[in-house]
Amino acid sequence: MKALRLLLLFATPCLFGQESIAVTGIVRHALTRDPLPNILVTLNRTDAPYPESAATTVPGGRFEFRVPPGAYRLMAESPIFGGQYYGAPSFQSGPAVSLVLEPGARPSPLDFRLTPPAAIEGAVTDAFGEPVHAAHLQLFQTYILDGRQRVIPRGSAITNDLGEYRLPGLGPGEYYLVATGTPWHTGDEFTLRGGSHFVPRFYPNARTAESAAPLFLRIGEEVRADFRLDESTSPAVAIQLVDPPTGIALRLSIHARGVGGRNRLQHSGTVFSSLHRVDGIPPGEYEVVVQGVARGKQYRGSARLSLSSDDITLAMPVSEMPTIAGRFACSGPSSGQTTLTLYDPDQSARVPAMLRPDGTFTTPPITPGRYSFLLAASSNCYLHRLTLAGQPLPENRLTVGVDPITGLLVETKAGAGSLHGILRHGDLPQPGVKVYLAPVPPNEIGPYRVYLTDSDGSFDFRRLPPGRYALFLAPGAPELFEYANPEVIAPYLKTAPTIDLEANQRIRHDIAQPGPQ
Amino acid sequence: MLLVFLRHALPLCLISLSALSQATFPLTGTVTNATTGEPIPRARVVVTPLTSTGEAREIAFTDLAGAFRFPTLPAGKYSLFAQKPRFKANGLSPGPPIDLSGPLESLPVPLVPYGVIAGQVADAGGQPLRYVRVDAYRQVVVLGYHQLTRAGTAATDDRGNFRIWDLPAGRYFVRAMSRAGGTFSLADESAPSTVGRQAFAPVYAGGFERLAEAIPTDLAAGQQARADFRLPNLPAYRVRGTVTGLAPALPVRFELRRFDTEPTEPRTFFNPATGVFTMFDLLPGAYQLHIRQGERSAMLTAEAPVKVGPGDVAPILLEALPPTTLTLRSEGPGTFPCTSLLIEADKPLPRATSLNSDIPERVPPGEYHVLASCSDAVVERIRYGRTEILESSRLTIPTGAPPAELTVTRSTRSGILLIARQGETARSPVLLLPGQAATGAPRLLNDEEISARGLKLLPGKYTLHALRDRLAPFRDPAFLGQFSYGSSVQIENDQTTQVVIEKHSQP
Repeated sequence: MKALRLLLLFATPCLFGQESIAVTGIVRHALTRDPLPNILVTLNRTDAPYPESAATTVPGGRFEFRVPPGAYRLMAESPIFGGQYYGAPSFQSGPAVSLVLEPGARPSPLDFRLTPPAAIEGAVTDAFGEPVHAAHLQLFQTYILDGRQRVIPRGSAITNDLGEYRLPGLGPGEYYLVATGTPWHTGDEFTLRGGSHFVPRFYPNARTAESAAPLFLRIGEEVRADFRLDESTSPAVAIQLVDPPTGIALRLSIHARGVGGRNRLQHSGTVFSSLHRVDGIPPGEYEVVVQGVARGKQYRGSARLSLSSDDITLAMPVSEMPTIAGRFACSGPSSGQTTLTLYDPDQSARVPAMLRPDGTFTTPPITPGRYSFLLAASSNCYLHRLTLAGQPLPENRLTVGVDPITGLLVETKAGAGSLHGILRHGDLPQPGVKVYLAPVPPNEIGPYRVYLTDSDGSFDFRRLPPGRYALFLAPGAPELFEYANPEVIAPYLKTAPTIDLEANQRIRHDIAQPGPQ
Repeated sequence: MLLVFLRHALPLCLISLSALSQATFPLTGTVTNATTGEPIPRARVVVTPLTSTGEAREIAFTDLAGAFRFPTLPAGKYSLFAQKPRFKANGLSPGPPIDLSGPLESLPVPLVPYGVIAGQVADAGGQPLRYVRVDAYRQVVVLGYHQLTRAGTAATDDRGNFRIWDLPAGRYFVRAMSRAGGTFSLADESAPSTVGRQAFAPVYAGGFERLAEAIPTDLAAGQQARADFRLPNLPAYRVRGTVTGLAPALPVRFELRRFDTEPTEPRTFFNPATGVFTMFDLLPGAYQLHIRQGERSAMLTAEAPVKVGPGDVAPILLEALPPTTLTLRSEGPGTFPCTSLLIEADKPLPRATSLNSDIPERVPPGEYHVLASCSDAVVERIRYGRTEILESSRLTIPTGAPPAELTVTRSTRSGILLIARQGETARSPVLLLPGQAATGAPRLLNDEEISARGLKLLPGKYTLHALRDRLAPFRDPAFLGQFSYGSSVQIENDQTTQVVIEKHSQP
């Protein structure tokens, strides 16, 4: 139904001439409410990658567009504020509230609140109070990803010659910060044994990840975080590559445990020979990885390094990276173009699988991990199960090691359905409200979805496998609401309506927002 | 008597020699800021015996008073190296070595501090611009030519501030350029999403587009200079085109060169399957477009002049071609083959391609300086195909040029020049200027060429100049014009001529 409505929206100019609708508004500072001039505002169709129109706000913060009917996203950006979608709570968090412009519509002027970014800055000094140049600051943020709370890397900074750093462009939220570094006199030809290192420090100058404290940032806040790094002697570390490809340089990275299960980078460099010396590594537990390309092939080696105060030589086999080969099958009449993407949320890795006309596919070389499969948005197929050597894979996830995998069967079924409707409070459509969808009963696989209602209060969940679903609102839910956590959403599901969705079905289910009118 | 000496004195001599070789002495000193004279604490001082490998080196750190101490160094010769962040690593090497045959106390080790160029970049309305690239170019001399080398690069932060540090003293030209000259989003490091119909013009300090008009920043040792920029936001256009002949899977670089600056890499969408490309956010002007794929000898290149604006540029067609194969031929009397060196001209960091006789080399298109030498004869002529070129003059290899020969002709005639440097010029570099272009190009002679064996030259008239600075721009006419003195010499065939240089030509 909504597809038909959108089709009509876009077809209207062709049928009735180029009708244009005025979209006007004022961009304001979200905290001071002051109008903001000289802000670039762009309007792009929800189904097109490029902006339809662009304008710069005039004194008074006003902007105006005249565009054909359709569904649009509005974005405001400036060098100071960065970019932010209309309806998003801050510039770093989506999604946007889509503007649905029906033929003949006269939308009210928009109030676009642009949130100023926050920043963390500080200085890193050594035990002598001297600035530490080239110290590495790694920032992590607690974030909702795929409906579950995760800690994700949110950027890094390197100190300048004065030991100063700055991490700008941050949204409000909970952050963790870690400072590492190598003394300037370690890592060159004069370094004796393993040289020395700076003991990593977690904000606020804690020695371990467990004792790290979060840094809470509010909108537009500038927070200072200084670090003092103590120097200590490092053991000598040598990496002995086993069977490396000849004649190429390999990228080396050494990661240690960071915050929230995320690794932090301790050291990176380039390996030119099979025996490579690394200076300035503190005792601890590490994952060491080398990777590089030679003659069109990708090579990788990895090993665990458990480093005490003793010198060590780490043997690391290097081999060609594996690929995944298999077959894709969609039972039933499929429509739309199908593309497959392997996705490992733990390392935020996405690997496309090239589908051939006969349904077979091979991925590019892939790093070890635990991958799920994503299907293209235009396909009506949904993932049914993954089978390897006749055995279904638990939770439809594929574990990749160092060996290539062949014979993977990706079984999908045609007939994905959709669930849409309008959220109203009384008779009034409610734009910009999060509507959640969960499988009934809740499970570990999903799908779990969230939709920020459009300007007309509508929501639209597409490409859903047949099954029983619950639609719910979560008023008063925390900022980091885990809408894919069965335990967290259980209270909301008690009163949520359930809908049985069959193959190829498109069900409309409006929601009435509770509360006094 | 001799027997008595051998019996008594010789063992004593041997003992004292042995004792001397095993004797240890203290070496102490102070590391200071060469500009302010202040002591430098926590500097690293490395002494290395000149007669052994690096394993025997000793390392010390200075105390709060900048003092260092090696209490027991074996007698011998050493080099000393001192280092501290924000100072140019320096010491007494490669200067005269330290001869430690007794205690050496209070050795002064001055370190020259680096300078800093910092400032802010804003748009014409004064709004700070983030992620704008700022380059500090330093004027250096390469092969006697003034050239710019990029000494440092920084990106502005969210407040538009930048800071480039560890800069040696010298003359700098500072340029601010947003990424691909772009708009708000293009100045960001993320993928651009904007309509991109405006772009920021790159400017040198002072607001000038061209290097020739730019105001230099003369940076003294340890100085912090400021350079602020206002980038004008101008209408921008697109260039569409198709390039054929590229390999399908390798990355492609699109570069635009304008004026006398480094080429920029505009934001470009490129479809490797069709060869169709679109370059965005280009300011009006005349450019040279370079499309490159691969490196050096395997590089495919396509070039075309492009005039941008007003309005987008209609589709242009280019063909990527492989590099030219160049073969060096040696001709004329002589036994040993000649060699040649092609050095990229007008590049901040020029690369050199060496050519050996009869071995084909693939040379990318471009402008080169050509040098040639023959070990047993004097070079008389150099030809590129049928074109005569003078030594060290420019050679242009066009894109897609067919295979060609570079022919070096040995001369049958030559004389020997013996150069003696006396007085103030005893250790000075010597510049040789031919009286006629046909007898060669200006040459800065090295010590080997000034040695007792003499220098073999084509017969003709030459002028010799003792210089004060080995890094002199000796191919710059303005530099040569300031000479007030020179030693003229006439070289005759099969004759040896001696000249004595006693005065510097440079004022």
